[in-house]
Amino acid sequence: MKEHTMREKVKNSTSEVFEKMFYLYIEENEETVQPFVIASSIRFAGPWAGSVTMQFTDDLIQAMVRNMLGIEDGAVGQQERADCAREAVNMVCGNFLANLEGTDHFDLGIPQIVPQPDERSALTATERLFFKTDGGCLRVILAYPVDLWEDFAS
Amino acid sequence: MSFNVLIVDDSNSMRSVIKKVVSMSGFKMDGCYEAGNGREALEVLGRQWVDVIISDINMPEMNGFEFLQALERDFILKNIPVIVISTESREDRINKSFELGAKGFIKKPFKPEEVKKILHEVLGVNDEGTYDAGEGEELDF
Repeated sequence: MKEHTMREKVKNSTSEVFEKMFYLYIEENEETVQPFVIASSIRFAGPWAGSVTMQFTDDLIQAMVRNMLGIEDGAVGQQERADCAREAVNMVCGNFLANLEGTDHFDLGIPQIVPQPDERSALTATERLFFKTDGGCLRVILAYPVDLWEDFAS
Repeated sequence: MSFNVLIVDDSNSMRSVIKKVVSMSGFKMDGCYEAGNGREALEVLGRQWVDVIISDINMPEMNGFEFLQALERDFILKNIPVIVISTESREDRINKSFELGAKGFIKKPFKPEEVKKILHEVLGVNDEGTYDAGEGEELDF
């Protein structure tokens, strides 16, 4: 699988989750300075290990909660935001792994709310995708082993 | 015809969504019970009879596969149809769910119609919430 294919699969997985569960259409965009207020992450292990992390702007996470739960008015609580962020990363990661070629099995961890992720890691390669929606912005970061990245790039 | 439903998922939001989708599917819910993992679900089942269980796989404490195994070991609980609803939709995971006794599988993310279709298939009911008669048969009471 080539690097661009990996990126495309992350994009398609994110798009499907946002359309079906949050009724939001995402569009890949140039990354801009956006204040992300919440981040969720999930690890996976199998033939290779990695993680998917998602960062959400305040307006987006609120729109996701409202659309998912059918809430029209009223405040969206911290608990609902965290729950929604965890579920989103769980679905995007599960969908991404299911769409990988082959029949290799991956185990998913439990999705967690995490501090805003560091920009770089020496141990992992990353695919970083920035999306805009009608409801706000998000960033999706797929981290995977450096040697795998070398395989993809070669 | 009304049903008691047990929804097992560690996400409050997802439980709310599933509950909403089930009620929109034309099913009359007599009771809707919720649990955050397999262990909590077994506690609910110790107090309450349900007609169908909708369960996630990836949950803390007792995951969906362990929950299915626990149901299979119980001669009463094993008769309750279980629909697995999960992000882990690779073929081996789906097959494992069915091997452990699940009667249906729904992939997350899902459309409401997909949940409705599987519920109808598993429970054998139609849009009116009544039982489907088999081909060439009529239910005559």
